[in-house]
Amino acid sequence: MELTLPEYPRILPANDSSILIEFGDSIDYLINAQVYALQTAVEHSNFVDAVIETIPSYRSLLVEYDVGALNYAEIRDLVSVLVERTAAMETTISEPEQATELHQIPVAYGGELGPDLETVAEHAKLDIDEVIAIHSGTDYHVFMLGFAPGFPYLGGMDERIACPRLSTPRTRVPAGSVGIAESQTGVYPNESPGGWQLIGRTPIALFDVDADPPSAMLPGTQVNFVPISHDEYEDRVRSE
Amino acid sequence: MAISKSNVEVLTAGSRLTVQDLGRRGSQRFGVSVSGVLDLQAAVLANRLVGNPASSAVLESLFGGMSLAFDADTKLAVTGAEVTIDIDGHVLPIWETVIAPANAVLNISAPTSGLYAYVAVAGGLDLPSVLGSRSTHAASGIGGLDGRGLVSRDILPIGDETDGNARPSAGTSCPDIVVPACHDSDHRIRVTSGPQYDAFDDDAKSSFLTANFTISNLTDRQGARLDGAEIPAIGGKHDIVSDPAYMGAVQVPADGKPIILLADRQPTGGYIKIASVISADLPCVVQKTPASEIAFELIETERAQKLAREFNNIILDAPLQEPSNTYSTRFEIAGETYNVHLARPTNVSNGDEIVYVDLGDKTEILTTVEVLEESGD
Repeated sequence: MELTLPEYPRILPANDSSILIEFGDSIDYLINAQVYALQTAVEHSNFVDAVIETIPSYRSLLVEYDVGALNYAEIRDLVSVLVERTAAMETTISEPEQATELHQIPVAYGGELGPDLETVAEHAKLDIDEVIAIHSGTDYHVFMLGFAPGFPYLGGMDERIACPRLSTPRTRVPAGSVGIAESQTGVYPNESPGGWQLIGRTPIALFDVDADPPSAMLPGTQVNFVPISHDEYEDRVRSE
Repeated sequence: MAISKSNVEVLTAGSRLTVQDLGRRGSQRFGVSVSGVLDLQAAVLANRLVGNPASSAVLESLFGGMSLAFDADTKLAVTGAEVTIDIDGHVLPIWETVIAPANAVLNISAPTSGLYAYVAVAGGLDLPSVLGSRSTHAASGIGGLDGRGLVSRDILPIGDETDGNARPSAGTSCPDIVVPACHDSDHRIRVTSGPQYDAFDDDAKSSFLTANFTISNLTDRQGARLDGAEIPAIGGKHDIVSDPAYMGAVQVPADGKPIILLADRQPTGGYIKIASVISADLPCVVQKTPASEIAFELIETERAQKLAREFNNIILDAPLQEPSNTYSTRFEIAGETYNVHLARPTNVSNGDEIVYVDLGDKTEILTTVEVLEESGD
């Protein structure tokens, strides 16, 4: 059987009122940058009034639109022009651009705030301090937010501190918990159930419906984690 | 918030009662679910029947079995699932404008068909708007009343939203074309091909389109889960790098059992999507009770869009049916004679006990009618 590989970018209808633009099928900085560039272009386009919402992911953008204003063929043609421009973006990007915003997240590592730090260190055959140094010594790219309000999918974690998920997820993970799952790291903005290895906690609110934007970490930007002491954590929780 | 003139109190909440509107738009990029009403048709019509904009917040009740009390005369409409409603024991129609007098109790039975009933009150539910919406997304504690489902003794303020000059009077009903036709068990749910339709081979596509699925009892506001046939992807590859999700997406996880994503879905997901339920058939899907059968029919996007436009036009613009005004009744309350067009004139005769008479600007509450003169054609 002959396999036809999809050619990217690919534009297709998702349902009767949304169009999907795929820039690839992998987790990749350039693909992700193209997604956000297209989102910006659509939101500044002359057909934005017919756009209900845009939803970015690692590798694709969904545009929901008003079928009373545009049909699929019409929006496909309008989007295609923007996609061509976006796809012509600098193709040499292999890492996130330094120019993007770097957001610093203070984290108190270990102890009761990071009950699985020792597990991660044992799995990595490293000292606890080395795990902290590696985890806080990296700039992470926010590929997208999803799963829960403000939950960041971060890319760029050092494989040396990768660790499998808990065999039994916790029913309650406190808000602000910083975790590791396989080669991903992330932060739980709100209390929720979860199976990630918890290595620390941040005192800052990562998601606040009254803030604009509501999320402290924004897709397409970078974050890094800054170690703070447990005392400083307590002080900042009190002052938040 | 303005001081509210009237309130609705939850006496009994039933299985699940939430505040919903048309959903929270523009925040999926922050990981925030849209939520909002499941049955768009029923909710929009409930709002129109009481003169609200389509976007007003309504109550969504799973399985009925609930009751509400009103502290002032309140115009309301109940739509959606086939429930029986009464106000202080007087049975009234659904899909129609009715009035609850001050201190009256509205009871909504369990449905004989369908899952979700909607209650709109004139003026809408005046709860704080969170990220542009009053919809409750309980999983993330956002919207509605304190981000949660309602319980007995909750009190909800009624707002003052109106849709222009629309002032439907009691007895106003929906265009016939709207009241659901999908209880017909032969009705197939129409879909368009999903973004990963070609992740399935011809046999899998064929079994998806010919199988009779049943709605699982694990179905909730997040998704309708289907049992009956398993739809394997080519090479068993059901996972993809996370992609945007949307209302009506039919995703197929590794167990091969399709899930139709609904209002409380997460904004992104990592399972392949074989198909997308068309907008016009979503009200039908969301009202299917567990164990009911469901089958799919594939149509082209162009046709789905034509149906979507027709669906939107009907629910938003099709004229409501005015109460019959060829039938007027004169009657007397406390010595004063009124000549009115009654909402349901044929149901009123001398000595009847009725709940309300809508006199336009005010509502008179009668216990006994004394009909002086009737005319009609």
